Amino acid sequence: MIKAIKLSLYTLLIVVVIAFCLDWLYTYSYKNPVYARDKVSWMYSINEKKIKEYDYALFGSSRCIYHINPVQIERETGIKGINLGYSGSNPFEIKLMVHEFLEINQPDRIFVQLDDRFNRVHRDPISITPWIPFIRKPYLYEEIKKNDSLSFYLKNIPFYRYTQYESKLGIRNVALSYMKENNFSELEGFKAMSGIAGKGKTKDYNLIDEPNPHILEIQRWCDELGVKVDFFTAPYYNRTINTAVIAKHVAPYKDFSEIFDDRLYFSDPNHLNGKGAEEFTRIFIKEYFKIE
Amino acid sequence: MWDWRFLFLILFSTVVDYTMGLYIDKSKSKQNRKFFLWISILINLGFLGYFKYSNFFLESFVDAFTFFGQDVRFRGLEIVLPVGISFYTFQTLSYTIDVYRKKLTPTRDFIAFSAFVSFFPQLVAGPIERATHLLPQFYSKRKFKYRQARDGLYLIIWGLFKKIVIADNCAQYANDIFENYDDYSSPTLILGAVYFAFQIYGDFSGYSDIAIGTSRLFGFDLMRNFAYPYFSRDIAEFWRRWHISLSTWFRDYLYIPLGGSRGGTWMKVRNTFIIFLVSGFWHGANWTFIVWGALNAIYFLPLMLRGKNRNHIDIIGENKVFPSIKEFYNITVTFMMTAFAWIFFRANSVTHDFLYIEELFTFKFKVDRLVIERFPFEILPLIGLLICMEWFSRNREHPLKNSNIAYIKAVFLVLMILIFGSFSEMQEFIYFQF
Repeated sequence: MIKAIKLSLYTLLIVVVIAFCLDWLYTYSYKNPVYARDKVSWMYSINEKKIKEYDYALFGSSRCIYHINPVQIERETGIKGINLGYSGSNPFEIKLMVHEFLEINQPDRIFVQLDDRFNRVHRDPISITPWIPFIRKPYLYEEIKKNDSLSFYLKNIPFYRYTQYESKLGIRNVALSYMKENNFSELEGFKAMSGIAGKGKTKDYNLIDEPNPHILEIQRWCDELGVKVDFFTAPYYNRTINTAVIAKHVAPYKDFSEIFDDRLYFSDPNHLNGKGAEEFTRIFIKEYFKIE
Repeated sequence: MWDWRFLFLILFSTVVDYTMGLYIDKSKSKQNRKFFLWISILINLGFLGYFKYSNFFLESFVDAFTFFGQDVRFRGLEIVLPVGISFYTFQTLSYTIDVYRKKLTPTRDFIAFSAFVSFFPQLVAGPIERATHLLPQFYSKRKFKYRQARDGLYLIIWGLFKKIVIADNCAQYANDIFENYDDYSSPTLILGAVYFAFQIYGDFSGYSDIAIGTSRLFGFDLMRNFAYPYFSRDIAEFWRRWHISLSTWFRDYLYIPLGGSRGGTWMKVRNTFIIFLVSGFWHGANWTFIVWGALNAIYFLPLMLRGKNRNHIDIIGENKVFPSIKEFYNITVTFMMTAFAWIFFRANSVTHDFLYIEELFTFKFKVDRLVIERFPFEILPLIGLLICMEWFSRNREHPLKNSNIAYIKAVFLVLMILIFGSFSEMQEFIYFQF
């Protein structure tokens, strides 16, 4: 029996050592990627290497990443920016991104895209994924802990986080971070969508008249740091949304949700295609960077 | 599905078979013995029939009436299938039948008998144990045996590798391909069938290995359920190596009592079809399983009628590193036949079966969505690893058994499980539904 217990303990020890090694290897790959696979890893890699300094930064969900092209803005105005929006982000994930970016960078202003997700206060179970390799950062852990009962185990059990999020953070993604260039870094975080939206049916988004605590927190930080913050809603097609709720709780705010009614500008009702993004970026420049 | 009320079902089944065993033993006349045996059979199969097959028969009647122009409406009974019922029903039946055949003295130890019926490692998905083999193990005092426990641990690791690395990874692609078959090219549909073949093998044999390994940790020895079935050189050999506990159950309690392969050609054909159809029907109340059983009977019959069904009872390529060309050809053909039959097993309905096969044989060659978005070939190296490990240990129970480097292999497998295991999209064991 003692021999069996020894064997079990020995095996357990080896498993723990393997888990530690793999955890280190995976985390290293996300912290120091050759080709960052997601916006969070990318943000940290450029943040920590201090490759560039930015005048402004854009935050939001897929309705940010696909809609505003910082390279076009730089070309037309000379102002350098970065688009840190990524798909599926709720205000919670936007807050994490803003916090982590502002910790190292000091841009003049930031822009936050708000939309039908304005009332969401919880983490998005998918969009939280790119933050998991960095969960040991104290701020991130404290924030994720409020939203995720597994966070203690994700932080403290070696490699557990990578098995739990294996389909998004697993070996495939780690291998690709050495092999395949991402499709957003070349355009400073912007990515164009293709295709044209179908006529489809109209849909209404009804926001509840409540402030979002994460957005209020972003406002407070920016005030403290002296960073100007602008909120906006990007265009929709065939969608109505009571943006008055957003306008009531955040400022300064600009509503672009109804500026386009031509579906040729859209890839789907929520996202502009490349042509629409180019036009919207132009309008964005006029609004915020005062170029006539 | 699990529900605490089903405990009464298994308890009732246990009490009935325990009591019938004693009555059969006490009865002097053959007629009485038979009477008590039939009570056991009818009660056990009655429960199984009610819980598993009621809706199937009712729906089939409705379909038949509808086919002949009668408008019959039926909403289906709300019956939940108790977990493991197909397995423990057969296990307890083997007890009463063996007592009836005087192969076994009935037990008077109700606790031991209850433990035999509900032995937790194999309760929900087998192996289906025989009372003659498992029941006596509950009588003896168990001693901890290091070698047995170590082997159990290795078997659990090997089973986890097959389940988490092979089956669950294959399942992600197989599910997508089977659900969206009309979007995909013929090569992708072939890949879907191959992935399902490895999914079901990894899933079911993985479960069996975990169950056997867990039992060994407690000092129990369960029967082997799989013996490298995909190295079979013909279908007869495949059925000697696949789900051995069920195949031998049907052989001993159905096929041989029906006359087996004795008698004329007609008897052989009849018995073969009965055993394969019943085997298919045992898997589930769906015509897809019956068609799957029938197809296997069609594969098997030519071998049996030509007296070639026991041609391959040795270990393939024994004392050789690689198989001969002929052996390799036979293995490949048998695997292709098996994988084709699995399409019937996997599909949701017979119509789905035939639509899948129709799409497969349209010979559409295109770069489809799956190839563009996900690169479905990434699982093939893992399947290759499984095949290599099994091939080089085909004369042993499992790849870690009696190996000089068993511990290194175990650590390697743990590493593979951690790196390649599909944890976030884990699939329930397929055989839990049966």
